[in-house]
Amino acid sequence: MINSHVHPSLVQALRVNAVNERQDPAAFEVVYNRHKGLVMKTAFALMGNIHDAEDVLQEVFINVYRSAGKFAGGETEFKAWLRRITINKCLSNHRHKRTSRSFDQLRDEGFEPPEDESSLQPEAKCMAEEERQDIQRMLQCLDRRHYLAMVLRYYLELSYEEIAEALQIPVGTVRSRLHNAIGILRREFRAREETDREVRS
Amino acid sequence: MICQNVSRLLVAYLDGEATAEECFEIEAHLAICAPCRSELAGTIEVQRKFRNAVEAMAKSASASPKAWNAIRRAVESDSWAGRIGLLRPLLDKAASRLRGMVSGRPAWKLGMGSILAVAGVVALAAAISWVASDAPTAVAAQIAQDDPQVREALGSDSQPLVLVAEVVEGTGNVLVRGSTSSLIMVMASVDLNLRQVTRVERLEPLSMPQLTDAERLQVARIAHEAPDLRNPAIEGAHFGKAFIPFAAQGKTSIEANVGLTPSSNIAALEVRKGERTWLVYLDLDRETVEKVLELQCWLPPFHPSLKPS
Repeated sequence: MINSHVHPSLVQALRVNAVNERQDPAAFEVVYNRHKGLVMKTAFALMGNIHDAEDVLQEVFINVYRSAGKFAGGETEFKAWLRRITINKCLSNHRHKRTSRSFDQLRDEGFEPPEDESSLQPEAKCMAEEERQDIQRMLQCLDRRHYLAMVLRYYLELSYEEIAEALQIPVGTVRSRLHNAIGILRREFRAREETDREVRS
Repeated sequence: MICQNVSRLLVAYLDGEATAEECFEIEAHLAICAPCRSELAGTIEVQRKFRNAVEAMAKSASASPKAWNAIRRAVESDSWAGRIGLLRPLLDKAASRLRGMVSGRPAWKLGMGSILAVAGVVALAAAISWVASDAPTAVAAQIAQDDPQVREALGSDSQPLVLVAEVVEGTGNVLVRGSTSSLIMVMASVDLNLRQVTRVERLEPLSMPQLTDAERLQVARIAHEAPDLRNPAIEGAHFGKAFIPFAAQGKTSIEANVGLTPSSNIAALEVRKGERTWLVYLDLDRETVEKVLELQCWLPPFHPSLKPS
Protein backbone atom coordinates (compact mmCIF):
# COMPACT_ATOMS: atom_id res chain seq x y z
CA MET A 1 0.00 0.00 0.00
CA ILE A 2 2.62 2.55 1.05
CA ASN A 3 6.07 1.92 -0.35
CA SER A 4 9.18 2.41 1.73
CA HIS A 5 10.09 5.72 0.09
CA VAL A 6 7.01 7.47 1.30
CA HIS A 7 7.56 8.85 4.71
CA PRO A 8 5.33 6.08 6.14
CA SER A 9 5.08 7.74 9.52
CA LEU A 10 3.67 10.76 7.86
CA VAL A 11 0.98 9.17 5.78
CA GLN A 12 0.08 6.96 8.69
CA ALA A 13 -0.03 9.91 11.03
CA LEU A 14 -2.15 11.88 8.61
CA ARG A 15 -4.49 8.96 8.10
CA VAL A 16 -4.91 8.50 11.80
CA ASN A 17 -5.63 12.15 12.18
CA ALA A 18 -8.20 11.97 9.45
CA VAL A 19 -10.43 10.02 11.78
CA ASN A 20 -9.80 12.65 14.41
CA GLU A 21 -8.32 10.29 16.96
CA ARG A 22 -4.84 11.62 17.38
CA GLN A 23 -2.17 13.29 15.28
CA ASP A 24 1.51 13.75 14.78
CA PRO A 25 2.30 17.34 13.81
CA ALA A 26 5.99 16.50 13.48
CA ALA A 27 5.25 14.00 10.70
CA PHE A 28 3.12 16.56 8.92
CA GLU A 29 5.97 19.05 9.10
CA VAL A 30 8.24 16.48 7.43
CA VAL A 31 5.77 16.11 4.56
CA TYR A 32 5.44 19.86 4.28
CA ASN A 33 9.19 20.42 4.15
CA ARG A 34 9.66 17.65 1.64
CA HIS A 35 6.97 18.80 -0.78
CA LYS A 36 6.51 22.54 -0.26
CA GLY A 37 8.94 23.23 -3.13
CA LEU A 38 6.85 21.31 -5.62
CA VAL A 39 3.65 23.06 -4.55
CA MET A 40 5.23 26.49 -4.38
CA LYS A 41 6.85 26.25 -7.82
CA THR A 42 3.64 25.01 -9.43
CA ALA A 43 1.58 27.70 -7.71
CA PHE A 44 4.05 30.46 -8.51
CA ALA A 45 4.12 29.50 -12.19
CA LEU A 46 0.33 29.54 -12.37
CA MET A 47 -0.46 32.49 -10.10
CA GLY A 48 2.38 34.77 -11.15
CA ASN A 49 3.22 36.23 -7.74
CA ILE A 50 4.48 35.05 -4.38
CA HIS A 51 1.53 36.33 -2.39
CA ASP A 52 -1.11 34.36 -4.29
CA ALA A 53 1.20 31.35 -4.57
CA GLU A 54 1.58 31.25 -0.77
CA ASP A 55 -2.19 31.45 -0.34
CA VAL A 56 -2.47 28.39 -2.57
CA LEU A 57 0.36 26.64 -0.70
CA GLN A 58 -1.46 27.10 2.60
CA GLU A 59 -4.80 25.96 1.26
CA VAL A 60 -3.24 22.91 -0.40
CA PHE A 61 -1.43 21.69 2.72
CA ILE A 62 -4.44 22.28 4.96
CA ASN A 63 -6.41 20.25 2.42
CA VAL A 64 -3.71 17.54 2.42
CA TYR A 65 -3.84 17.33 6.20
CA ARG A 66 -7.60 16.97 6.23
CA SER A 67 -7.88 14.60 3.27
CA ALA A 68 -4.88 12.39 3.98
CA GLY A 69 -7.18 9.58 5.05
CA LYS A 70 -8.46 9.33 1.49
CA PHE A 71 -4.99 9.00 0.02
CA ALA A 72 -3.56 5.60 -0.79
CA GLY A 73 -0.36 5.13 -2.75
CA GLY A 74 3.38 5.69 -2.82
CA GLU A 75 5.67 8.66 -3.25
CA THR A 76 4.94 9.04 -6.96
CA GLU A 77 1.20 8.94 -6.47
CA PHE A 78 1.49 11.35 -3.56
CA LYS A 79 3.38 13.87 -5.69
CA ALA A 80 0.91 13.49 -8.55
CA TRP A 81 -1.98 13.98 -6.13
CA LEU A 82 -0.31 17.04 -4.62
CA ARG A 83 0.36 18.54 -8.02
CA ARG A 84 -3.21 17.91 -9.15
CA ILE A 85 -4.77 19.59 -6.14
CA THR A 86 -2.34 22.50 -6.48
CA ILE A 87 -3.29 23.04 -10.13
CA ASN A 88 -6.99 22.76 -9.31
CA LYS A 89 -6.69 25.23 -6.46
CA CYS A 90 -4.78 27.73 -8.63
CA LEU A 91 -7.29 27.50 -11.46
CA SER A 92 -10.19 27.73 -9.05
CA ASN A 93 -8.67 30.87 -7.52
CA HIS A 94 -8.24 32.34 -11.00
CA ARG A 95 -11.80 31.39 -11.89
CA HIS A 96 -13.22 33.00 -8.79
CA LYS A 97 -10.80 35.90 -9.06
CA ARG A 98 -9.34 35.05 -5.67
CA THR A 99 -6.10 36.70 -6.63
CA SER A 100 -4.58 39.63 -4.85
CA ARG A 101 -4.48 41.72 -8.00
CA SER A 102 -5.90 41.32 -11.42
CA PHE A 103 -3.85 39.23 -13.80
CA ASP A 104 -3.83 42.08 -16.30
CA GLN A 105 -2.17 44.25 -13.69
CA LEU A 106 0.46 41.58 -13.13
CA ARG A 107 0.91 41.35 -16.84
CA ASP A 108 1.55 45.06 -17.10
CA GLU A 109 3.92 45.23 -14.19
CA GLY A 110 5.73 41.96 -14.71
CA PHE A 111 6.20 39.34 -12.03
CA GLU A 112 6.05 40.63 -8.53
CA PRO A 113 9.36 40.05 -6.79
CA PRO A 114 8.99 38.33 -3.42
CA GLU A 115 8.52 40.82 -0.59
CA ASP A 116 11.03 39.06 1.57
CA GLU A 117 14.40 38.60 -0.06
CA SER A 118 15.19 35.72 2.28
CA SER A 119 12.49 33.68 0.57
CA LEU A 120 14.58 33.63 -2.58
CA GLN A 121 16.90 30.72 -3.26
CA PRO A 122 20.51 31.93 -3.57
CA GLU A 123 20.77 30.78 -7.17
CA ALA A 124 17.56 32.61 -8.00
CA LYS A 125 19.10 35.86 -6.83
CA CYS A 126 21.54 35.41 -9.66
CA MET A 127 18.80 34.74 -12.20
CA ALA A 128 20.05 36.21 -15.42
CA GLU A 129 18.52 39.55 -16.15
CA GLU A 130 17.84 38.32 -19.64
CA GLU A 131 15.69 35.47 -18.32
CA ARG A 132 13.77 37.84 -16.13
CA GLN A 133 13.13 40.06 -19.09
CA ASP A 134 11.96 37.06 -21.10
CA ILE A 135 9.42 36.22 -18.42
CA GLN A 136 8.12 39.75 -18.27
CA ARG A 137 7.95 39.95 -22.02
CA MET A 138 5.89 36.78 -22.10
CA LEU A 139 3.53 38.02 -19.43
CA GLN A 140 3.10 41.28 -21.20
CA CYS A 141 2.04 39.75 -24.47
CA LEU A 142 -0.07 36.82 -23.29
CA ASP A 143 -3.43 37.24 -21.62
CA ARG A 144 -4.41 35.03 -18.71
CA ARG A 145 -6.12 32.36 -20.86
CA HIS A 146 -3.16 31.92 -23.16
CA TYR A 147 -0.62 32.09 -20.38
CA LEU A 148 -2.33 29.40 -18.28
CA ALA A 149 -2.61 27.05 -21.27
CA MET A 150 1.09 27.55 -22.01
CA VAL A 151 2.19 26.90 -18.42
CA LEU A 152 0.00 23.80 -18.15
CA ARG A 153 1.47 22.44 -21.37
CA TYR A 154 5.13 23.47 -21.39
CA TYR A 155 5.97 23.74 -17.70
CA LEU A 156 3.62 21.22 -16.12
CA GLU A 157 3.57 19.00 -19.22
CA LEU A 158 -0.12 18.18 -19.15
CA SER A 159 -1.65 16.54 -22.20
CA TYR A 160 -4.20 18.47 -24.25
CA GLU A 161 -6.95 16.38 -22.75
CA GLU A 162 -5.76 17.11 -19.20
CA ILE A 163 -5.53 20.82 -20.00
CA ALA A 164 -9.03 20.74 -21.46
CA GLU A 165 -10.33 19.13 -18.27
CA ALA A 166 -8.44 21.53 -16.01
CA LEU A 167 -9.57 24.64 -17.87
CA GLN A 168 -13.03 23.25 -18.60
CA ILE A 169 -12.75 23.87 -22.33
CA PRO A 170 -12.87 21.55 -25.38
CA VAL A 171 -9.64 19.94 -26.62
CA GLY A 172 -10.01 21.87 -29.90
CA THR A 173 -9.89 25.13 -27.95
CA VAL A 174 -6.69 23.97 -26.21
CA ARG A 175 -5.16 23.38 -29.63
CA SER A 176 -6.08 26.79 -30.94
CA ARG A 177 -5.14 28.53 -27.71
CA LEU A 178 -1.62 27.08 -27.76
CA HIS A 179 -1.28 27.77 -31.48
CA ASN A 180 -2.32 31.39 -30.96
CA ALA A 181 -0.12 31.84 -27.87
CA ILE A 182 2.95 30.60 -29.70
CA GLY A 183 2.09 32.85 -32.65
CA ILE A 184 1.88 35.85 -30.32
CA LEU A 185 5.21 34.99 -28.70
CA ARG A 186 6.92 34.42 -32.06
CA ARG A 187 5.81 37.81 -33.34
CA GLU A 188 6.94 39.40 -30.09
CA PHE A 189 10.39 37.76 -30.23
CA ARG A 190 10.79 38.70 -33.86
CA ALA A 191 9.89 42.33 -33.16
CA ARG A 192 12.36 42.39 -30.26
CA GLU A 193 15.11 40.96 -32.39
CA GLU A 194 14.49 43.60 -35.04
CA THR A 195 14.55 46.37 -32.44
CA ASP A 196 17.79 45.03 -30.98
CA ARG A 197 19.30 44.86 -34.45
CA GLU A 198 18.33 48.44 -35.16
CA VAL A 199 19.76 49.60 -31.85
CA ARG A 200 23.05 47.84 -32.55
CA SER A 201 23.32 49.23 -36.06
CA MET B 1 -1.71 20.26 -47.80
CA ILE B 2 -1.17 24.00 -48.08
CA CYS B 3 1.26 25.96 -45.88
CA GLN B 4 -1.52 27.70 -43.94
CA ASN B 5 -3.03 24.38 -42.84
CA VAL B 6 0.37 23.00 -41.86
CA SER B 7 1.13 26.10 -39.84
CA ARG B 8 -2.14 25.67 -37.92
CA LEU B 9 -1.17 22.09 -36.98
CA LEU B 10 2.54 22.51 -36.20
CA VAL B 11 2.14 23.10 -32.46
CA ALA B 12 -0.07 20.04 -31.99
CA TYR B 13 2.33 18.06 -34.18
CA LEU B 14 5.32 19.00 -32.01
CA ASP B 15 3.35 18.27 -28.85
CA GLY B 16 2.52 14.77 -30.07
CA GLU B 17 -1.17 15.68 -30.15
CA ALA B 18 -1.81 15.54 -33.91
CA THR B 19 -3.64 12.56 -35.38
CA ALA B 20 -1.74 9.93 -37.40
CA GLU B 21 -3.31 11.25 -40.58
CA GLU B 22 -2.31 14.84 -39.77
CA CYS B 23 1.26 13.73 -38.95
CA PHE B 24 1.52 11.96 -42.29
CA GLU B 25 0.38 15.02 -44.22
CA ILE B 26 2.55 17.44 -42.23
CA GLU B 27 5.68 15.36 -42.73
CA ALA B 28 5.01 15.00 -46.44
CA HIS B 29 4.62 18.79 -46.70
CA LEU B 30 7.70 19.60 -44.58
CA ALA B 31 9.83 17.45 -46.84
CA ILE B 32 9.16 19.79 -49.76
CA CYS B 33 8.61 23.19 -48.06
CA ALA B 34 11.55 25.14 -46.65
CA PRO B 35 9.47 28.06 -45.18
CA CYS B 36 7.37 25.57 -43.16
CA ARG B 37 10.53 23.83 -41.92
CA SER B 38 11.75 27.23 -40.79
CA GLU B 39 8.44 27.86 -39.03
CA LEU B 40 8.77 24.48 -37.32
CA ALA B 41 12.21 25.46 -36.02
CA GLY B 42 10.83 28.81 -34.84
CA THR B 43 7.99 27.11 -32.97
CA ILE B 44 10.40 24.75 -31.23
CA GLU B 45 12.50 27.76 -30.20
CA VAL B 46 9.49 29.60 -28.73
CA GLN B 47 8.41 26.51 -26.78
CA ARG B 48 11.95 26.10 -25.42
CA LYS B 49 12.24 29.76 -24.42
CA PHE B 50 8.88 29.72 -22.69
CA ARG B 51 9.69 26.52 -20.79
CA ASN B 52 13.11 27.83 -19.69
CA ALA B 53 11.68 31.17 -18.62
CA VAL B 54 8.93 29.66 -16.49
CA GLU B 55 11.36 27.14 -14.98
CA ALA B 56 13.75 29.94 -14.06
CA MET B 57 10.93 31.96 -12.58
CA ALA B 58 9.47 29.04 -10.61
CA LYS B 59 12.91 28.17 -9.24
CA SER B 60 12.95 31.52 -7.50
CA ALA B 61 9.82 30.69 -5.50
CA SER B 62 10.14 29.38 -2.00
CA ALA B 63 7.74 29.52 0.89
CA SER B 64 8.28 32.00 3.70
CA PRO B 65 8.17 30.85 7.35
CA LYS B 66 4.89 32.76 7.65
CA ALA B 67 3.22 30.21 5.37
CA TRP B 68 4.14 27.28 7.61
CA ASN B 69 3.03 29.15 10.72
CA ALA B 70 -0.40 29.75 9.21
CA ILE B 71 -0.72 26.10 8.15
CA ARG B 72 0.42 24.87 11.56
CA ARG B 73 -2.11 27.05 13.34
CA ALA B 74 -4.89 25.83 11.06
CA VAL B 75 -4.12 22.13 11.51
CA GLU B 76 -3.51 22.48 15.24
CA SER B 77 -6.99 23.86 15.53
CA ASP B 78 -8.28 20.66 13.93
CA SER B 79 -6.84 18.55 16.69
CA TRP B 80 -7.87 19.88 20.06
CA ALA B 81 -10.55 22.35 19.28
CA GLY B 82 -12.23 20.45 16.49
CA ARG B 83 -13.62 18.14 19.08
CA ILE B 84 -15.01 21.00 21.08
CA GLY B 85 -16.64 22.30 17.93
CA LEU B 86 -18.47 19.00 17.59
CA LEU B 87 -20.02 19.54 20.98
CA ARG B 88 -21.60 22.83 20.02
CA PRO B 89 -25.11 21.41 19.49
CA LEU B 90 -24.95 19.98 22.98
CA LEU B 91 -23.78 23.28 24.39
CA ASP B 92 -26.72 25.00 22.79
CA LYS B 93 -29.12 22.52 24.31
CA ALA B 94 -27.32 22.78 27.64
CA ALA B 95 -27.59 26.56 27.51
CA SER B 96 -31.33 26.44 26.97
CA ARG B 97 -31.79 23.87 29.72
CA LEU B 98 -29.68 25.89 32.12
CA ARG B 99 -32.07 28.77 31.79
CA GLY B 100 -34.46 26.81 33.95
CA MET B 101 -31.85 25.30 36.24
CA VAL B 102 -30.10 28.30 37.68
CA SER B 103 -32.38 29.99 40.17
CA GLY B 104 -32.43 33.71 40.85
CA ARG B 105 -30.33 34.61 37.84
CA PRO B 106 -31.72 34.90 34.34
CA ALA B 107 -29.86 32.95 31.71
CA TRP B 108 -29.01 36.01 29.67
CA LYS B 109 -26.88 37.19 32.57
CA LEU B 110 -24.99 33.93 32.87
CA GLY B 111 -22.45 34.65 30.18
CA MET B 112 -20.78 32.12 28.00
CA GLY B 113 -18.16 31.18 30.59
CA SER B 114 -20.70 30.35 33.23
CA ILE B 115 -22.80 28.33 30.82
CA LEU B 116 -19.83 26.29 29.72
CA ALA B 117 -18.68 25.94 33.31
CA VAL B 118 -22.01 24.48 34.35
CA ALA B 119 -22.14 22.31 31.22
CA GLY B 120 -18.68 21.04 32.14
CA VAL B 121 -19.79 20.26 35.67
CA VAL B 122 -22.86 18.43 34.33
CA ALA B 123 -20.61 16.35 32.10
CA LEU B 124 -18.10 15.62 34.84
CA ALA B 125 -20.78 14.80 37.36
CA ALA B 126 -22.40 12.49 34.86
CA ALA B 127 -19.11 10.80 34.10
CA ILE B 128 -18.31 10.21 37.74
CA SER B 129 -21.74 9.21 38.87
CA TRP B 130 -22.77 6.67 36.29
CA VAL B 131 -19.61 4.60 36.39
CA ALA B 132 -20.43 2.67 39.53
CA SER B 133 -23.90 3.61 40.59
CA ASP B 134 -27.52 3.31 39.70
CA ALA B 135 -27.86 7.09 39.64
CA PRO B 136 -30.43 8.35 37.09
CA THR B 137 -27.68 9.59 34.77
CA ALA B 138 -26.04 6.15 34.78
CA VAL B 139 -29.36 4.45 34.11
CA ALA B 140 -30.14 6.86 31.26
CA ALA B 141 -26.64 6.34 29.81
CA GLN B 142 -26.97 2.56 29.98
CA ILE B 143 -30.44 2.57 28.35
CA ALA B 144 -29.24 4.83 25.53
CA GLN B 145 -26.13 2.75 24.97
CA ASP B 146 -28.11 -0.50 24.69
CA ASP B 147 -30.84 0.93 22.49
CA PRO B 148 -31.06 -0.55 18.96
CA GLN B 149 -32.25 2.77 17.45
CA VAL B 150 -29.17 4.50 18.80
CA ARG B 151 -26.91 1.78 17.41
CA GLU B 152 -28.63 2.01 14.06
CA ALA B 153 -28.24 5.79 13.94
CA LEU B 154 -24.51 5.47 14.62
CA GLY B 155 -23.93 2.76 12.02
CA SER B 156 -24.13 -0.99 12.48
CA ASP B 157 -20.40 -1.62 12.95
CA SER B 158 -20.03 1.04 15.62
CA GLN B 159 -20.17 0.58 19.37
CA PRO B 160 -21.96 3.41 21.17
CA LEU B 161 -19.82 5.42 23.59
CA VAL B 162 -21.67 7.70 25.97
CA LEU B 163 -20.11 11.14 26.20
CA VAL B 164 -22.44 13.16 28.38
CA ALA B 165 -25.69 12.46 30.18
CA GLU B 166 -28.02 14.68 32.14
CA VAL B 167 -31.40 14.06 33.71
CA VAL B 168 -34.07 16.75 33.82
CA GLU B 169 -37.55 16.05 35.20
CA GLY B 170 -37.48 12.32 34.63
CA THR B 171 -36.02 12.54 31.11
CA GLY B 172 -32.43 11.67 30.37
CA ASN B 173 -30.58 13.42 27.57
CA VAL B 174 -27.64 11.34 26.49
CA LEU B 175 -25.04 12.29 23.92
CA VAL B 176 -23.54 9.22 22.29
CA ARG B 177 -20.83 8.85 19.67
CA GLY B 178 -19.79 5.81 17.70
CA SER B 179 -16.61 3.89 18.43
CA THR B 180 -15.44 4.10 14.82
CA SER B 181 -16.01 7.77 14.18
CA SER B 182 -16.21 10.82 16.37
CA LEU B 183 -17.90 12.69 13.56
CA ILE B 184 -21.31 11.11 14.07
CA MET B 185 -23.16 11.73 17.28
CA VAL B 186 -26.63 10.96 18.50
CA MET B 187 -28.69 12.69 21.15
CA ALA B 188 -31.05 10.18 22.77
CA SER B 189 -33.96 11.13 25.02
CA VAL B 190 -34.63 8.51 27.66
CA ASP B 191 -37.88 8.21 29.61
CA LEU B 192 -36.67 6.96 32.99
CA ASN B 193 -40.14 5.86 34.10
CA LEU B 194 -40.66 3.69 31.01
CA ARG B 195 -36.93 2.89 30.94
CA GLN B 196 -36.80 3.32 27.19
CA VAL B 197 -35.51 5.68 24.53
CA THR B 198 -38.29 7.90 23.27
CA ARG B 199 -36.42 9.96 20.67
CA VAL B 200 -33.20 9.62 18.74
CA GLU B 201 -31.71 12.66 17.00
CA ARG B 202 -28.66 12.29 14.85
CA LEU B 203 -26.45 15.36 15.16
CA GLU B 204 -24.60 16.38 12.08
CA PRO B 205 -22.20 19.02 13.21
CA LEU B 206 -20.28 18.76 9.97
CA SER B 207 -23.28 20.08 8.06
CA MET B 208 -23.07 23.33 9.99
CA PRO B 209 -21.85 26.25 7.88
CA GLN B 210 -18.08 26.23 7.76
CA LEU B 211 -15.56 28.96 7.16
CA THR B 212 -13.58 28.56 3.97
CA ASP B 213 -9.86 27.91 4.25
CA ALA B 214 -9.23 31.45 3.04
CA GLU B 215 -11.48 32.84 5.79
CA ARG B 216 -9.70 30.70 8.40
CA LEU B 217 -6.42 32.14 7.26
CA GLN B 218 -7.92 35.61 7.41
CA VAL B 219 -9.07 34.95 10.98
CA ALA B 220 -5.59 33.78 11.95
CA ARG B 221 -4.04 36.86 10.37
CA ILE B 222 -6.42 39.31 12.05
CA ALA B 223 -5.93 37.64 15.42
CA HIS B 224 -2.19 37.59 14.97
CA GLU B 225 -2.09 41.31 14.34
CA ALA B 226 -4.77 42.37 16.82
CA PRO B 227 -3.60 44.64 19.65
CA ASP B 228 -6.36 43.15 21.88
CA LEU B 229 -4.50 39.84 21.85
CA ARG B 230 -1.14 41.34 22.71
CA ASN B 231 -1.73 41.66 26.43
CA PRO B 232 0.66 39.56 28.53
CA ALA B 233 -2.06 37.13 29.61
CA ILE B 234 -2.88 36.03 26.04
CA GLU B 235 0.36 36.68 24.20
CA GLY B 236 1.90 33.51 22.87
CA ALA B 237 -1.33 31.55 23.17
CA HIS B 238 -2.20 28.83 20.66
CA PHE B 239 -4.91 29.57 18.17
CA GLY B 240 -7.52 26.86 18.00
CA LYS B 241 -10.49 26.27 15.77
CA ALA B 242 -12.01 29.14 13.83
CA PHE B 243 -15.72 28.78 13.17
CA ILE B 244 -18.92 30.61 12.35
CA PRO B 245 -20.61 31.33 15.66
CA PHE B 246 -24.33 30.93 16.07
CA ALA B 247 -24.51 34.71 16.26
CA ALA B 248 -23.58 34.85 12.58
CA GLN B 249 -26.30 32.42 11.60
CA GLY B 250 -29.20 34.50 12.82
CA LYS B 251 -30.09 31.97 15.50
CA THR B 252 -30.93 32.54 19.11
CA SER B 253 -27.45 32.26 20.39
CA ILE B 254 -25.47 31.85 23.51
CA GLU B 255 -23.16 34.47 22.07
CA ALA B 256 -26.02 36.98 22.08
CA ASN B 257 -26.05 36.60 25.85
CA VAL B 258 -22.73 38.33 26.09
CA GLY B 259 -23.73 41.32 24.03
CA LEU B 260 -22.46 40.34 20.62
CA THR B 261 -24.47 41.89 17.82
CA PRO B 262 -25.67 39.25 15.36
CA SER B 263 -23.94 39.73 12.05
CA SER B 264 -23.21 37.64 9.02
CA ASN B 265 -19.55 38.57 9.00
CA ILE B 266 -18.55 37.44 12.46
CA ALA B 267 -16.14 34.56 12.94
CA ALA B 268 -15.04 33.08 16.24
CA LEU B 269 -11.64 31.77 17.20
CA GLU B 270 -10.75 29.61 20.17
CA VAL B 271 -7.52 30.62 21.85
CA ARG B 272 -5.78 28.59 24.53
CA LYS B 273 -2.80 29.24 26.77
CA GLY B 274 -1.97 26.77 29.51
CA GLU B 275 -5.18 26.05 31.36
CA ARG B 276 -6.91 29.20 30.16
CA THR B 277 -9.17 29.44 27.14
CA TRP B 278 -10.69 32.42 25.38
CA LEU B 279 -13.22 32.86 22.63
CA VAL B 280 -12.32 35.70 20.29
CA TYR B 281 -14.97 37.14 18.00
CA LEU B 282 -13.76 38.88 14.85
CA ASP B 283 -15.45 40.99 12.22
CA LEU B 284 -14.13 39.74 8.88
CA ASP B 285 -15.27 42.82 6.96
CA ARG B 286 -13.73 45.36 9.27
CA GLU B 287 -10.85 43.02 10.11
CA THR B 288 -11.17 43.80 13.80
CA VAL B 289 -11.49 41.87 17.05
CA GLU B 290 -14.97 42.54 18.39
CA LYS B 291 -14.90 40.72 21.69
CA VAL B 292 -12.61 38.54 23.76
CA LEU B 293 -14.21 36.24 26.33
CA GLU B 294 -12.32 34.14 28.78
CA LEU B 295 -13.99 30.83 29.49
CA GLN B 296 -14.06 29.82 33.12
CA CYS B 297 -14.01 26.13 32.47
CA TRP B 298 -13.86 23.83 29.54
CA LEU B 299 -15.52 20.54 28.82
CA PRO B 300 -13.46 17.46 29.60
CA PRO B 301 -11.90 15.83 26.54
CA PHE B 302 -13.58 12.83 25.01
CA HIS B 303 -12.27 9.66 26.54
CA PRO B 304 -13.39 6.07 26.29
CA SER B 305 -13.14 5.77 30.07
CA LEU B 306 -16.40 7.68 30.20
CA LYS B 307 -18.04 4.56 28.87
CA PRO B 308 -20.13 3.01 31.62
CA SER B 309 -18.74 -0.30 32.77
